[in-house]
This record gives sequence, structure tokens and C-alpha cells, in this order.
Amino acid sequence: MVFRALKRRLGSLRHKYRASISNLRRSNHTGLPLVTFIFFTWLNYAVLYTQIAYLKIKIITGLVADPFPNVPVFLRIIVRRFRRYANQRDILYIRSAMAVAAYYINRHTLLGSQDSYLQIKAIPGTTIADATYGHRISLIAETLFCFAVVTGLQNFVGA
Amino acid sequence: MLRGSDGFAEFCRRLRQRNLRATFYEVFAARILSEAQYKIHAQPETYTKGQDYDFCALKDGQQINIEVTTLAEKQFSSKTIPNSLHKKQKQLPKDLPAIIFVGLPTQWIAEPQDWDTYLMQVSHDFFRGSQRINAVVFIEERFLQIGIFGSIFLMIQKPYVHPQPRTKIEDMSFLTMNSIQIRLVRDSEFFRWIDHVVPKTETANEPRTK
Repeated sequence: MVFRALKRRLGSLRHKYRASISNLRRSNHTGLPLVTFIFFTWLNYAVLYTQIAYLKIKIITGLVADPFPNVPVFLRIIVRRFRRYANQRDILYIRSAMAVAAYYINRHTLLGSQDSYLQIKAIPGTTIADATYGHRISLIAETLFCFAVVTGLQNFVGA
Repeated sequence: MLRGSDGFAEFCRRLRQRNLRATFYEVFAARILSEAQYKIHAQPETYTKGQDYDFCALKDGQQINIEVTTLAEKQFSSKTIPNSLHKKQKQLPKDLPAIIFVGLPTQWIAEPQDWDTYLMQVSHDFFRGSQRINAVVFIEERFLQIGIFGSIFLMIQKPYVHPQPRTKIEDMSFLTMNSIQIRLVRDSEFFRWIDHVVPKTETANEPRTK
């Protein structure tokens, strides 16, 4: 009985592993050999989770201020990765909004096969993208964020 | 607030699985009530007549049921709004106060028409035939292009209140306050949080406690 259960469990694990490899192969648009791609993907995850653990320790020990305790540390790390846009606030806000939306609703809002509400269109008569996508994604993320962290409002120290 | 209740997870599920525009208007309506200190409760669809509303809002022991509908981006027809209102009111219970939010198609707004008069007339006709609904709130999304790279984004609420509803709502001031919300001004917790994580001048390190 135990042996059969173990065999079933191993079978399901093998199935999950194959599915994840197949997903990786499908998402490998970089042209890297699969082994290298898997290595860098896993390395990226390892770095990410190390950063999360490190920041959590710093928050607990009081080395880093945390005026928004309800915001997941994962999101904070992701937004920190956009610090190269620190002087381009529009880009920073839109990228952060995309990250927040992806975190809460698990939806990539820049994919080609997008819901028409978030499709990027050109200003009529030009090839310049209009700003509706930026405004809408900011509004969605802002609304989700406000719902998720509003209990932390009173603790806000100030930017 | 919403994260601790059953509402937040349910809204996230809907945003994940359903039409984004329609669900976002539900979340936006919930936000309007949440900002007025209402507690939001959302449950999965029941498909039962009179019980299949989007969410309910609770404050001081009073429950308001909310139904949100977004009209499809099609050509304007004078029957669309009345038909939609009549259909939606059947999803709400008869004995409790209720509000219907209607998201208007963006392409309608561009048409040259006196929208305020038209919407007032439509809601007046609707209220004459029913006492179940306390208010109808139309939500318009306005996008104004200024030059090539400038733009303004507005979410405009247009509330119309029933003069003699079956069950009254104690305080409906939240519908008339902040009816025009200019989203260009980045003054919310979300933007403050980003400014805290990535300060404008500092790019290398996060601000530390003293």
C-alpha cells in the first residue's frame, strides 16, 4: 500500500518536472541552450529569494524602515529592481503598477493576446502609443494596492 | 481593510478569470464605498434571481447591495441603458437598499450629445417604474490628449438618486463627494510606497532608520 502511494507520488512529481521543463523550453526566447537557460532561471530565483530573506531580516532587526508592513516583501524587492528608472518616474510608476497587478491577479498585462481594455493603441494619425495603457494599469494597481494595504495607512511615516 | 475580508481574494479571482474591464469597474465601485468606510463583502456568483449581486457593503448595521454593469463598446442605442438597468435590478433583493453602477463605453462619450440630460432622463424613467434601487451611478472614463505626449485621465461618477426608494440609505453623501477624480495627481498610498522604495534622488540604497 505504502509502496503504491510512493510510486503514485513519484509519478506525479515526474509529471510536474516534465511540465516545468516543457514550460521553460517554451519560454526560452533567448536562444540559450536549455541547460544554460534553466541554470540562469534558477539562479535568478535563488538570488530573488536570498534578497527577500535578507530584507526580511533587516526589517525584523529594524535596520530598514517598513512604513507599509502589509506590502509583501517580494513586491518591494521587485520594485527595487526598477531603481534604474529612479529619475524617470513615469516609467517607474508604470513598471511598478505592472508588477503589482501581476502579483495580485497573476496576469501579464503586456502580452500580445491582451484584454482589449489594456491594449496599447496609437494616437489616431500617428504611430505614437497613447497613454491609456499607462493610466489604466496605474489605476488598477493603485486600487488593488489601496485595498491590500490600507490598514497600514496610519503607520506611514512619510516619503 | 478589504484584504482581511472575503472581498479581496474574490475580486482578485474575478480579475484573474473574467473580463478585465467589467471586473475592474466592480473593484472601482468597491473602492468608492471602501473610501466611505464601508466594509466590502464579495462572494462568488450564485446565479439565483434576486441574490446574484456583485458585492455588498456594510456600515453601521446597514447593508447595501451593489450591482455593477459595464456596457459593451458598441454603437450607441437609446435602449441599451434602460434594458441593462431593468435586467440588473432583477439580480438584487427587493427588501434591501441597492445601488447600480453603470460603466459607459468610452466611444459613446466622444459622440456629440447632451449626456447629462440624457442620463438624468433615463434614470428618472427607470425610478418611475421601480422603488427597489436607491441610486444609479454612471461611471465615465475620460482621456484627454494634450499635445503629443501629455494626457489627462479622469474617472467621472454621475450619481442619480431615487426620490422615494423602498428602503432608505442613511447617508449617501459618498456618492456626491469626489465625483470627479483626477488620476493625474499621483497622491495615493501606492505612489507614496513607490517613492519610499525608490526615492527620487537616492538610487543606490533604501532610506534607513536612525
